[in-house]
Amino acid sequence: MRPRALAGAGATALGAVTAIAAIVIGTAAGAASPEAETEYVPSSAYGIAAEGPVPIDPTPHVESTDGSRQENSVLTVPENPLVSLEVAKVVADESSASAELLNLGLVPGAELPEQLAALNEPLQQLMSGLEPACEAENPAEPVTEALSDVLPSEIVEQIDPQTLCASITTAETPALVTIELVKVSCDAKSGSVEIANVSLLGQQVAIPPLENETPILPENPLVTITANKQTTNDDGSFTVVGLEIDLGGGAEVITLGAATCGFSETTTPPPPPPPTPVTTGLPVTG
Amino acid sequence: MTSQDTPRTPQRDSASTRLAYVLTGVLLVALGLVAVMVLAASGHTITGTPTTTSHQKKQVTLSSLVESTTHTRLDRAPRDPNPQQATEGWIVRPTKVIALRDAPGGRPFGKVGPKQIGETWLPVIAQRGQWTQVLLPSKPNGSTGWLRSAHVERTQTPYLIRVHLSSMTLELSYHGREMNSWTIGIGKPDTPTPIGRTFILGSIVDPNQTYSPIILPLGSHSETLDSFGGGPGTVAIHTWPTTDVLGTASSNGCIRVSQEALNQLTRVPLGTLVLVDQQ
Repeated sequence: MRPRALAGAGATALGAVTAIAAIVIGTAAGAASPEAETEYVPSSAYGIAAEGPVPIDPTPHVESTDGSRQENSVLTVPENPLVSLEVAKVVADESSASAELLNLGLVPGAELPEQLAALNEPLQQLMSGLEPACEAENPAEPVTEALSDVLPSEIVEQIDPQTLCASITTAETPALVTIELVKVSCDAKSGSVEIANVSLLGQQVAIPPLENETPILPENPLVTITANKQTTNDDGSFTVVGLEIDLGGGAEVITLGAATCGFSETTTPPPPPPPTPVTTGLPVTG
Repeated sequence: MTSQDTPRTPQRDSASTRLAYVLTGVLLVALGLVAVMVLAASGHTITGTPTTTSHQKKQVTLSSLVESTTHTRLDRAPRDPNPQQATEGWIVRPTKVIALRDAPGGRPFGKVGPKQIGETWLPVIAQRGQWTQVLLPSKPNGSTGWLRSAHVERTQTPYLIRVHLSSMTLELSYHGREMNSWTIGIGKPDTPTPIGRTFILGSIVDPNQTYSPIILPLGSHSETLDSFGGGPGTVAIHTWPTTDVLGTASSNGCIRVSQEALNQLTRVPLGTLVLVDQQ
């Protein structure tokens, strides 16, 4: 009897404790505020991402789903043959976002990975065209000719054939493209892209003004680079992409610097309709 | 054998019993500690009692509590702490008859239901956790009460009415902007219109009155007339057959307005705040 009684007492005590705990938890969980409900369309940003045979998950990535400021940064990206960088910093808050990339290298070894072997041919063609051109007695003309196959004349004009030849004949081939700074930022309605100091095979080239969806290179089988691509998404958010690099007509698409700006909407319940007068006798003070 | 077995069984029982005893004790101590920690952390919420007891008490209490209406007086109602403070326009309606308490989770002193003259809509003046403080329609003026937030529906009125007694004007604001201002008639010096924070309690057509097609009773009462014309001295907004009363202190406490003003004021949702000041 005694143990049973004790067990009974235990059960009662347990019940009481549970009841008290339930009341306390109810107090905390049932807290309701008469505030308007705010819905957030998230803002987000990432440094680099790639889709294709060499995929790269958005790195670094941030998302603000509740209007709070979120930040992230990395000093390197997962090892890959496509992109290298030194610093990438991303920020997102309620209605603005930004991504900043420093010292980017695209195709750092100037050689495409196996998965993109199909693209190696035009690249090798360029390189194999350049090598004999560089060995010519007066390389200026043949080098310019070789480059003209894949680059627009305004960029070719900026390239000094001798410097180019010197760089490709060294033991270490420079990255296909290097960019000192890509900065992308947006608010709910507009976006901007800043790209500074772009070098092609080691030589700095001037980038045309970055209007919306500026193609940096003309149509060619090797690479298409589009800067400042801006889109409005289905949920009303707004995305701006710093550089979109399309290798081989969509075989591999690399995105560098993307910022999506969301917004918040405060919804309040509709006000009650005008009251319908009630017929009743209520003497008031007149 | 049996006689040997018999005492052994209780011995085993006794050992397991002691184990159960110890385990139960440990469990109780642990639960007790948890309860103490939870209660200590929750500070002022230590008013909780086991659900069954509180439920039984509530049932008993509700039936004996006086309902807050324009006809009743609830002297234990806490007073309005900020009688001239505008709010964000939140208004609530009890979804059933519920207790009015003198503090969040405090003692019940009255009750309020979803209907009185028409629908009951009360302005929110404070919010704390799961408790909502509202202005009440019962005497004395400036009465408030705390409601359990789970038992009210809520919405927001974009309107605010300000009544200035010295300048005898009434201002109607919509989303914080003054829409209109009218000259009004107010209470005589010996039957003044009470100052403070109140609200539109109802919208009525009184077949026994001819001075106004629609009368808007407020949550406040005359401070000098405990009853008037058979009513509890409820202050109201209404028109008057002649316009010469506008700009004068000639009423028994009510706020007399032009027909044009009444046409707009009758569109204002019940529960909308009315701030009466001496300016």
